[in-house]
Amino acid sequence: MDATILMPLSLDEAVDALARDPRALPVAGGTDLMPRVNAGTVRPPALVGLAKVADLRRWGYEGDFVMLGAGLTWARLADADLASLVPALAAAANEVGTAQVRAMGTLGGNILSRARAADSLPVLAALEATVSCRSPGGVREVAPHLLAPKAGVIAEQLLRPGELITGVRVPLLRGVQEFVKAPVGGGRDLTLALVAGPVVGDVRCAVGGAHPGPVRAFEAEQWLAGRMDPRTGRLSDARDAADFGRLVADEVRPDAEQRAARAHLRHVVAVCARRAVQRAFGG
Amino acid sequence: MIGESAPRPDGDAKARGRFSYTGDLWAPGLLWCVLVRSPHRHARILGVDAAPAYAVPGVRGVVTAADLPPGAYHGVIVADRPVLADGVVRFAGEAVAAVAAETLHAARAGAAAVLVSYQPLDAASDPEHAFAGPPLHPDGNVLRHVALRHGKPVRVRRDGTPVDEVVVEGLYEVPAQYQANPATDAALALPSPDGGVELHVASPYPHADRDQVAECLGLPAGMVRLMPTGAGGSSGTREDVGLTAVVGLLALRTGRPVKAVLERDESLRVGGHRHAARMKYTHRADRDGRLLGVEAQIILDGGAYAGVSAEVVGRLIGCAAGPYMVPYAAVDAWAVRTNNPPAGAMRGSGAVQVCFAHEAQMDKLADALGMDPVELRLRNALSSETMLTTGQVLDGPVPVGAALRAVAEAVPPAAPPAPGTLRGTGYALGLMPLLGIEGADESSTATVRLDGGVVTVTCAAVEVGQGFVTLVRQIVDEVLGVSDAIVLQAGTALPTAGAPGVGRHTWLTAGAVEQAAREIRERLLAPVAARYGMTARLLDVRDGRIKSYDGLIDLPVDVMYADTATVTTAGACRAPGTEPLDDAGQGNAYPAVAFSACRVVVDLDPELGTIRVVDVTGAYDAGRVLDPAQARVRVESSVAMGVGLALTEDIESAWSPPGTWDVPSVRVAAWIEEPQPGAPFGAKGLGDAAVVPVPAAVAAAVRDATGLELPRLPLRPRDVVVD
Repeated sequence: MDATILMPLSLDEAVDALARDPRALPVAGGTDLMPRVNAGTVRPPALVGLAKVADLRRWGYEGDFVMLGAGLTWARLADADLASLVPALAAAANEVGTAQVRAMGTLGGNILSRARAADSLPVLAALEATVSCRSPGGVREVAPHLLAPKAGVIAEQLLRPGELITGVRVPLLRGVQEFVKAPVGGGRDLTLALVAGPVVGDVRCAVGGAHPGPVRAFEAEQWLAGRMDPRTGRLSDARDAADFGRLVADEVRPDAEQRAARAHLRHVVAVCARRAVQRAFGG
Repeated sequence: MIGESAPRPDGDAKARGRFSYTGDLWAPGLLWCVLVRSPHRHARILGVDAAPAYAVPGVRGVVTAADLPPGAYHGVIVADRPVLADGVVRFAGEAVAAVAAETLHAARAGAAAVLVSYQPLDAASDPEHAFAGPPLHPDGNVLRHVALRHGKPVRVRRDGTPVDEVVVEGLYEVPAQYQANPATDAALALPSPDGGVELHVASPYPHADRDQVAECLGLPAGMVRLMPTGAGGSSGTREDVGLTAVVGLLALRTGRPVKAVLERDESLRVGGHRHAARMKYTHRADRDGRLLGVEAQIILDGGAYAGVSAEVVGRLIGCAAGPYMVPYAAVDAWAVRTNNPPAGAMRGSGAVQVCFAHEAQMDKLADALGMDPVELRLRNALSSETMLTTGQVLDGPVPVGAALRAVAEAVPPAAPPAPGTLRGTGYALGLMPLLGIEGADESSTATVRLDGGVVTVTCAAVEVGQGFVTLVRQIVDEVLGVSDAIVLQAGTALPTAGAPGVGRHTWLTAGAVEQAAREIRERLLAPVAARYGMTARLLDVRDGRIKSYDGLIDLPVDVMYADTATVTTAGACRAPGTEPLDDAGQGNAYPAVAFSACRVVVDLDPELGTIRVVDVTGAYDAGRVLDPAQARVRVESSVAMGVGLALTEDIESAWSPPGTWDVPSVRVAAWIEEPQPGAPFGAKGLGDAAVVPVPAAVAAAVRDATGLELPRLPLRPRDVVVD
């Protein structure tokens, strides 16, 4: 293949390179992109290697937010410092593939993955984080939880041609964060992230692996918020967790070709949601 | 030294990703080959139009069945499989044409441009339709049927009173299993100046492949040279001869080197899998748990072409009742033709499938009798000088009871079950006939040359990842005291070493090396011994010294070589003779049988149906452990393969290999070292017998945890949810 490979040394150079040829693709760990290039399903005329762009691997505070560079690897996201800031993302990172994949695969690459099992996305959707998409014209912040997860590949809705994901802005929350992952057969996994914000009644839940993108269960969230005791922040009834699970499954309606597989996915969503609530609120 | 662990010559390069597999090879002027494959399971080919492919820039050649000599068919037993489909396609994924182009992308585009018009025909994907349905091939649909009849039904006790029978029945299914060798299937062909072709392919059996390719290309065998490349693992069938012949043909046509590398999902469709099996079993026992009889009907899905199906039937028929004494057996086994990908040989061929069924039956029987499953098995276990249901008396070691006791008595895993999970424990026993069976001419040769202390071993056995090179060095070290023998891996320039698999090279080729080395040793030690008034037998060569049994002689090993310039000897090793099974499935068909026992402990999340294999403990009838590290690798890879078949590999819908998180570390409760008569150092192949009981034991453990019947593999999460 006669593709050009560019190795920019700075973020600006990387953004310029992609803007000059919007068909070029950025590559960091390559764990998602390179198998597709090898299989011939994508044929970029140029690759923009991000290995030398140190800015992409930084993180820092911005007011009530933490800015995570798109080049942070799963292994780095699981480290104690970042795990204490965004526990659900660290929990997701710990369950990704093998140690080799965790050492190479990056946050930005995962957000752009074609696979349903882009494990970062339900976490970002539940956190209501925004993804920073940069072009020479400036930075556009896109919120994954506001996209159309059932409509198709999330990467295409998120990023415009020529843009580069530089990082993710995650609100720093004081509440609880849970992440649950369950294999459902055939190498497929279902993921669920549950986040409780600083205010009692602020609960958010997103499910991955059921549709092309992460699906928020807005109605179930509201129902659960209404079941909380405003003084203690605890649930009023031990059965609430199971009821919440059923509501999430009803709302998410996972898709699968076979009816039996669909029924199992629904069941798994309900169990994962119930367990996340039980872990988060006790009982 | 024999009995010690030695590093493997290819280990470091493979671990670091520096090893060159076939797919990594390159030659100047290389063209890429991509095959055009049928989307239909069964269809008539009305026409193939290659012209649009030639219009794709970079395409240099397109071949179809019309470019091959008539009769370009291949097959290990029966040559019934066309190199490129000729008039009819019999499975989805069958190659119809092949394109060679300057780049991989151009070859892909060219292959997509070839216009094939098909007239779809009714496809038979259910093996049971093979009996009544129309023939899918001129050779018919039944590839082999063996109707084993052994002993007589036991209806009365010795005192004449009727036997109080306990009967259990079951219908079991095991799906096809993809080999998933670590290195992808690939082949490289280079045209030779003499008009022949040189083939680089990871062939475990270069001679047979060379002959078949030559025949398919219409060339004399001498004009086809096959160089085995470093295979990234082989658990039976690898690249099919058809692929090798196609790249060879394209190289001859274009006059350029041609390489094909198959995608994983392409290999999945091409076949060579473990046979899918459907099995109906009836077991009868008396109230004391003694087996009275086993009846079974077993149908193997052979896929579209004959392959090795007939041999697999012969191998499994003697294993169908398990390693138990059975006074009466009536077992019918068929391999039939379907419109599925052709099945191949895979570690534990045939035995894995029947083990899943007969071990489930033994657990059912234990349950019906209220007996402990281990106790029931011990009560019926084969022992030395007992008989298989083929009527063959076992004259080698039969450590079935010892193996089962070893795993049953091993300490259970210390960690308690994870919170919210159910723990289950399952046992399984397996047996596997080794080497070629039913009168296969089983022998192998090797040449050992000693030149000034340098030992060179030449044999045509191929290192496919089984650690053969290391084993040969250890044998030479053991016999001649030279630790760094050169092992020449020759291609088809050397005489054949035969088909690998089922422990062949460990026994026969290693046996030939040992014999040749011993002859050199006798010849060189004789004068040394004579000098001290001894015989060579009383001298031992170890750690670079020659020592006598009584310690009086202690000489440097060099004195052995001092007077001799060069010695070359040839060794040969032949397996015990066997005969084909007769019409009733009776006969001394197996040169040797190996056994293994396995205990599996699982933790099951009853709500999500997720299974974690917590512990696998095995005991293995090794004969002799030649290299502990290699033996462990064989066992660990067999466990991974068995766990994959049991839990993750759903070839019908979504194939997914087991990951490191699916497979626990394996504990070996016992290497049972009762030497196998006739085998070098008494050792026998490990990999095949080791995989046999694994899927059965995993299923038994999950049954123990859930109480579900689970007659089918793989155990998908949704099959094992307990509400």
